[in-house]
Amino acid sequence: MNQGRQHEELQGMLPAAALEILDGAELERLLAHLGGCPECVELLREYRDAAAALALLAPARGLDPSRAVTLRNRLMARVQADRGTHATRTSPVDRWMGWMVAAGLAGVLLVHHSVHRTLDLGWLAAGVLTFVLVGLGIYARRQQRRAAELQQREELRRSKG
Amino acid sequence: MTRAHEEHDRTLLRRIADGDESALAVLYDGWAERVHTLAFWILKDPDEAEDVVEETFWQAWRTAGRYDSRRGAGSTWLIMIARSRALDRLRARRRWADWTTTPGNTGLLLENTAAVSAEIPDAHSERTERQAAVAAALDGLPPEQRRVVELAFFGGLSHSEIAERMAEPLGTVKTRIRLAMQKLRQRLAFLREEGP
Repeated sequence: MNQGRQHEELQGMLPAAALEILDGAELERLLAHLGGCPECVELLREYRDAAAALALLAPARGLDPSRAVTLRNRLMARVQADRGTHATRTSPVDRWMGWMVAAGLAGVLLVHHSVHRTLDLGWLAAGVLTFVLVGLGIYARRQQRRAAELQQREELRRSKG
Repeated sequence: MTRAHEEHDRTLLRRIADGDESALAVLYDGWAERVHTLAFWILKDPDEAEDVVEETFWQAWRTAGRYDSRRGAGSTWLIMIARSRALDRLRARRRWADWTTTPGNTGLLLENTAAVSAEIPDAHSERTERQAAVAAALDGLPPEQRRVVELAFFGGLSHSEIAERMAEPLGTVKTRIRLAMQKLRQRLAFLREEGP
């Protein structure tokens, strides 16, 4: 099939794509085509806007104002809980602080024992301190996770109430 | 939807993508009722429709960063999320067949379309004007084309499922959907070109 005919055939699939009723194989072909065809991308946008406009024809069904507020509060509580979890998960301070402290202490120890201590005593001290630091790190992490879980549960409980 | 409204929604979605909760609240206030109306029409269940409202805006919060304005207006993006969530529930509860075989469900929309068209002279609000424009565009289609579009959009039925339901050849159904959507796109083009 030449390119022109293929383009025409795929363009004919755009209405069904806008209604999201294409089957998997058709959709894959169309997506591959859309990557290199700005004309079809624009047409799909227009079809999608036309499809979404059909939603206006659903008979109006008012959302009770008190229910709308409840739903809004529930949504915002969920968002805040998510934000808390997200911050705990991705904060650069949280992620790197432990490593920075450990690296700093290790550096101080190494410099110190290389100047003032015999090799055996220095390594022994470093080993004990490393062991203590790792233990503290694991404990702190567990506590942090527990606190985040409790916070999330509390948010959900409040949103359902 | 004027360009000003479209730009407003686009800005809101950008702010949501940046983690602005107040923008989500504004989006919710502007769209919750319409999302609820669509979800209720598809599901015919008030509790499930409310769940869909929450899921829709939750998904908007989580995925606003993926919204691409080249693929459609912000309102289109939101409405299609709501439709997908409602259809997922419809399928999950195995009521799909019930919906499409209940006589009222596939006829009421056409009646409603006629009613909306009759209200055109009294239309004042932007929503009513848009509704009237869409109703008029749909009214201009042959009944068999309106029906396939309705089954596809509100019922989420595939080409072959529509063909089976209407006892028509698959090719005929594909052609009807293509022609119907082409006409709707052309007739609703002025909505995209309206100035602020």
